[in-house]
Amino acid sequence: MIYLDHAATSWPKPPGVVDAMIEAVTVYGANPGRGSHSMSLDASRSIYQARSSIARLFSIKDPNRLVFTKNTTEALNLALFGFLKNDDHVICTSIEHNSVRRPLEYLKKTKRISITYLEHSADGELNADQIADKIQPNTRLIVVTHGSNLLGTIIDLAKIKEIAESNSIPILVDCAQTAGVFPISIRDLDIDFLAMPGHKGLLGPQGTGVLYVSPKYEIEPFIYGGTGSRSEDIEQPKIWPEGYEAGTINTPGIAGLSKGVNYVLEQLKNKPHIKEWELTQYIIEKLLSINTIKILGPTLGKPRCGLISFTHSKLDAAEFSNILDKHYSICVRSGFHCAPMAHQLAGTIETGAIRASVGWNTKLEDVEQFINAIKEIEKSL
Amino acid sequence: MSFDSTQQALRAEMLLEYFDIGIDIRPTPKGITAGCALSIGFEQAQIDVVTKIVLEENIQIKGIFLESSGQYELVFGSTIRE
Repeated sequence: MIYLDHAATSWPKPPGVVDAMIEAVTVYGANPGRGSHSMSLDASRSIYQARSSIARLFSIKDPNRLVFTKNTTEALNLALFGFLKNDDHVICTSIEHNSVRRPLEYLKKTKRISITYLEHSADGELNADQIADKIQPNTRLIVVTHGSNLLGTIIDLAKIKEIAESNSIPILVDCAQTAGVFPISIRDLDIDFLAMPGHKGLLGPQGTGVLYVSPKYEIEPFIYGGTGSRSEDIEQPKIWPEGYEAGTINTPGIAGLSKGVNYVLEQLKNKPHIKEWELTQYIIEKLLSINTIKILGPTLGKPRCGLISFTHSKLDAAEFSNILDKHYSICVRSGFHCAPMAHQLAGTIETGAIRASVGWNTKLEDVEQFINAIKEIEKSL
Repeated sequence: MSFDSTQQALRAEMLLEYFDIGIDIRPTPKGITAGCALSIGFEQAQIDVVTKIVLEENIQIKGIFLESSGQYELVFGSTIRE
């Protein structure tokens, strides 16, 4: 099997991830933060260790400003529902995933927020200078996807942060495609809210996600219930992080995530983007020689995360990916990728696209087999 | 020093150990609060350096209490912003 769907979730996981999850269940499987016996404390320490590793990877001073969620979608929902108030105005890119667009459109109905979607080129590139003209007196948040999950386009966060900062507006960054792959430093960029998956570039298991919230901002919880403290209070305490993680959290998943992040820090030296860049550029070079294929997103040599989406002039996207799966055992993702606005930009809203994405364990031989398979399919048409 | 958050207590434990302050992590005494929260015990002589670390590192604590004959007197208040 050749797995080229790392943009959906990374697979396999590095050594140690599964063992850490088994240990969390079989050795110290108590409830973290509930009681002070040694097993509960061991579970809490395992959770804190994961927070510390993530804080180290993103140069975050206080690990307790990281809230564990079950995925990026929940992290984004926590930020949007927890921070936005009635009649706020939000600016966001037009390459946002539905995990941003749908909560924003819901808040438009329920909290009367207004939304300005930014303009992009068909490749997804963004001229940040337009943001200044779109800021209104009630603009309260700018939402930015760091890497498009369809086009692969990388958005320059520093430029957007500079404009936002000069207008005292915080930014929320969705780094679902870049966390663990591209270096992102909170210390350098001073990002206010950062939402990420644990199960993609951070190499943890599914069911894990994280939201970072700057100490400059407070938010309302998204889930209410037990926090393991001040149980006599009728109101949920706003303590970090438990006030935002009500209920029993995913200790086995977070223990696995901790090992995944340590692998990124220690084995990949926080530089997997170089390998992903080389592999994606190689794929683009080869696909450019096939006339029936149209590549979406930035052209050869331009910044891009580890994915390539394309369409075929004769074969439907779903059929193409089905042939790759059934005849060549190659896993790619076809369809709309939960990103209809990005498909609108690319002109593929009617057809969908095929997306191949590489990851930490993808080898050159894998992408060569992928290219050979495409050439064989082409010949057979 | 008492906490409403286990994760805040563990961060404080890590920082205090880093600064070589002798500590003992334990359940919060009933005389401070009932429940399942954690506290960190330390010598009274270290109170200035501990409060300095708490404030500089933005650690959320319930308070620092002085124990005398099983009674607890609050000597440094909560840092939790409500």
